[in-house]
Amino acid sequence: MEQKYIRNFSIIAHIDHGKSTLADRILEQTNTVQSREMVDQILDDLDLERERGITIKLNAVSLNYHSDDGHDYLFHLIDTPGHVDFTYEVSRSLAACEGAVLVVDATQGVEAQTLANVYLAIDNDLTVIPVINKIDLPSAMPEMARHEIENDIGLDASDAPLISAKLGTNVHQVLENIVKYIPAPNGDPNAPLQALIFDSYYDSYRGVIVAVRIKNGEIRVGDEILLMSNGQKYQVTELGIRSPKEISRDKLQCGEVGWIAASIKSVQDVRVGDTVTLANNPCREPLPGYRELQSMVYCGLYPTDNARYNDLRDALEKLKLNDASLRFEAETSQALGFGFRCGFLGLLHMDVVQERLEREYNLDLIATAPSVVYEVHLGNGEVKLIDNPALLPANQMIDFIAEPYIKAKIMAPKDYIGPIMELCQNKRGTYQDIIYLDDSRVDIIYDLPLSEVIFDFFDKLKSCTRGYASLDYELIGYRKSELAKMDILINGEVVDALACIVHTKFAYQRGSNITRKLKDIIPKQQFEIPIQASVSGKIIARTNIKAYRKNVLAKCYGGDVSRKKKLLEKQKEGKKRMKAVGSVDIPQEAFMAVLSMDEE
Amino acid sequence: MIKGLYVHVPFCNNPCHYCDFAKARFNYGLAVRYLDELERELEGIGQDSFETIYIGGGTPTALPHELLERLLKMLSRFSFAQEYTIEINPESFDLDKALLMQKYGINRASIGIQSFNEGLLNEMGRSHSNLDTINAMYYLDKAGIKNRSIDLMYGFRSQTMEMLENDLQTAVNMDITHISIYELEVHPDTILGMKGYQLADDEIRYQMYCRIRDFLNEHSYRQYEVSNFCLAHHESRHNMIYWHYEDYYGAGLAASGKIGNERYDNTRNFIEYLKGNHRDSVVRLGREDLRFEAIMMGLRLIEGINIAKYDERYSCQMLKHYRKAIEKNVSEGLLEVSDGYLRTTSDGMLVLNDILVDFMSWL
Repeated sequence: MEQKYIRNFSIIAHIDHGKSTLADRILEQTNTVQSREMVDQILDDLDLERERGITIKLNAVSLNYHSDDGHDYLFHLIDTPGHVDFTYEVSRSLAACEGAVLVVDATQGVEAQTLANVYLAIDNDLTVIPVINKIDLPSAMPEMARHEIENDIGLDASDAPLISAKLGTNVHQVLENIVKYIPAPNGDPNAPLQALIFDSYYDSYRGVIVAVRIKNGEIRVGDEILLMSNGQKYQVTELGIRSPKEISRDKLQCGEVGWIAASIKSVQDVRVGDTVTLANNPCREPLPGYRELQSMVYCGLYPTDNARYNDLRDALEKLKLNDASLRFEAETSQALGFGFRCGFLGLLHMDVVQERLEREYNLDLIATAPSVVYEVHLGNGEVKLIDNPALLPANQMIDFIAEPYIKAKIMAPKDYIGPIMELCQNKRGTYQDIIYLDDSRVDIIYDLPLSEVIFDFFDKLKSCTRGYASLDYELIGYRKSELAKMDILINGEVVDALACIVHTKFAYQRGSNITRKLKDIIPKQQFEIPIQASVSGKIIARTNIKAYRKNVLAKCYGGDVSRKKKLLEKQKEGKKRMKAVGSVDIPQEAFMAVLSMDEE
Repeated sequence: MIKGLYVHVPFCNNPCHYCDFAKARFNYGLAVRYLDELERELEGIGQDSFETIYIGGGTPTALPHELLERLLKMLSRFSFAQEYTIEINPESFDLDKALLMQKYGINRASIGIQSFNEGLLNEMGRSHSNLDTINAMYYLDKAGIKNRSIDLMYGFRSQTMEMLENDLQTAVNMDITHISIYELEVHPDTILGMKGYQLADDEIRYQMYCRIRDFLNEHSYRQYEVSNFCLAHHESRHNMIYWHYEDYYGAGLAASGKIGNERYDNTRNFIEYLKGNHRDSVVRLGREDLRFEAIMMGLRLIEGINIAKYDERYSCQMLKHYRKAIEKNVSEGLLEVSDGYLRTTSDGMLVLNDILVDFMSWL
């Protein structure tokens, strides 16, 4: 097919504004999928994503469209994930497109979260075409939505179709607008191959399947390809498009989006944003925008039942096949036994991995509080990277500790400047700038320690701006901070998995918050349990969990046996979910309590 | 042979705020249909003589005279060797009912008093007064029913130690042989549960329990089970069947029975019951279920479990079979093995659930 009949696009939408529903309707109306084959929302592969209403795994579908202009078009619809942890992946899948369809909910209008992705699209020189969805709802206010698209985003919405993705109303117009407004790809078919990798996944028969956008040149089965970031070479065994099932072809040509199989053994070798070229006729330079993926957040994952350590390892290895950004290595904790130190892109990524391990591999896990990687400068000039607070060398050996900082760009309506600045100050942020984007919106720029951002910053930001703020951040390097290790002692014993690194200025406050939180989380047991926080051997906070005095059923007669036995079984299950540290049973949530910053 | 027969009367005049038993407000027509159905269920019981019969509720005395008589008549088919108990509530009891009970051979009454503090009674949704209680005792005297137990409760937020001691003192001054005293439990589907009622503090309930034990033991009411106290040789024979994990029939709404290695639970649904669908479930108990449940019930008794009898009944060596749980709890001073019995210590009884979870977890 000639490039002028190809359209590559993504759909951008706020959560619940109808992105997946629109994708489904587009697949239906282009007869890509028969409606009876439709499992709701085909692009979201994983159950987990569907449940959380977020899209994590990228995916692309090819579809044929016969336009009102009489021509047949080939559309490639590229899906994007929607969370700040995955900004880089989003930007790479957008880079595979020439345009994006922006879905705005007619009942909600433009939401701040959408803005970040719209601007990401505009940064990638995409043509953004708006559509107004959910017009079937009685509360729909399409004119307000149109006004907001024009005023808040600055896009021309005069030709924005009013649709109901749910009912299929006017979806045809969206397809026509894609043909009309989104530019065709304009790569050079005769240039050396340049293909952008925007996703990959592991297939147990063929190895890694790489999702690519052919920017220049073409690629055929049998070609020897070169991955430019690491110089690895492979022979293409199979390639094709998806509709959404895989369809094999003999070549992918300039402007197309498709998949390549080349007996690649590990997703770790295939990096999103990398450029694929031909080994015997390489392009001169890679496509711009490639970034090494970095683990930003680490935590320990331990099976509650130590006997399942090997099951956890197997599960992590399986997940890693499909998740290039997951890192892990074995570690041990005195309190928790054998487990793994795992590295993640961010907290959502961490949650998702943990949930998949528990759900798909049926493991009961204890996660320690997430930590960033600290640079520990020792007195002897040596520098150690520490991603586990428990492993911090003794205080007297340390010259100073540096921690990773990010530059956070928070986009929000200007009414929220006050609360946002207050939040950033509380999180040890350093003010950099406020940029007025227009009359109503600002970018607030702060340098923030990553460790302060990884836990509840995003939630706090959402709640203090009623959901209107969006956050984008990049790592800007390490800075020296007044940091110290805080140990938590339960029943007089240091629990290594509860250790954390705190800023000395906040140590007392953190210590008392954590001990108080632990007191609420750890259930009463048969004896009194002191909980202490200590820095450099000095106790800075202390509280006690009183012993419970009674745990016995008042009544147990002939008619009660079944019910009372169930009650005991419940107590037994509850106990199983806890980790015995010394003689104290500690529930899973306790290991996250270290991050509790609630200043009550 | 099946030792006991329990018969449930699921009617009350007023629901108590803490009660999660199967019951309904008394209604004459419904009660007649219920008794019809109960009669059918009783017909299915193939055994005619028991050690004990127990009529519980609900409130058996919520039945008016003629229906109570009908119930007692249909039960007169069964003979009992030792004990025939009925639960009575002071507000729905009178001399006629007492004499009726006498006529049909009832020899033990369990009186639902809960407290002698009328403010507290009010809080529980109990409608009787202390005068009703005094009258009830008088009617039982007249009917010659001398073996009497009362139920008390503690753990209410508004209850002080003085109020509790006053209840205990009043109880031991009465002419009774047996006292059951239960800590209040707030179940979600009770009036208290729906109101989000908070119990008295853990520590206070603990102190109350200790006070109860001491007080009643000092006044000749020996503790023989977690919540039960009696004068010498006046244990509830019927309830001992449960704690000895022996076999019993249960008839009526929500009643349960255990026959050998089978336990059945009757439906809690009136409509189902009246349709003749009595059984909700029948569970076949495996070897380990039997072994565990015998421990779960037996450790509630102060005397504990006779190890030799246990070993014989369940063809295993208890001390070996549950070695880990027993050793741990013995070393923590919560269990003891002596004179051929396994029993809780007085500390252990307070945390019996933890001990049982150990038995459940480690085989």
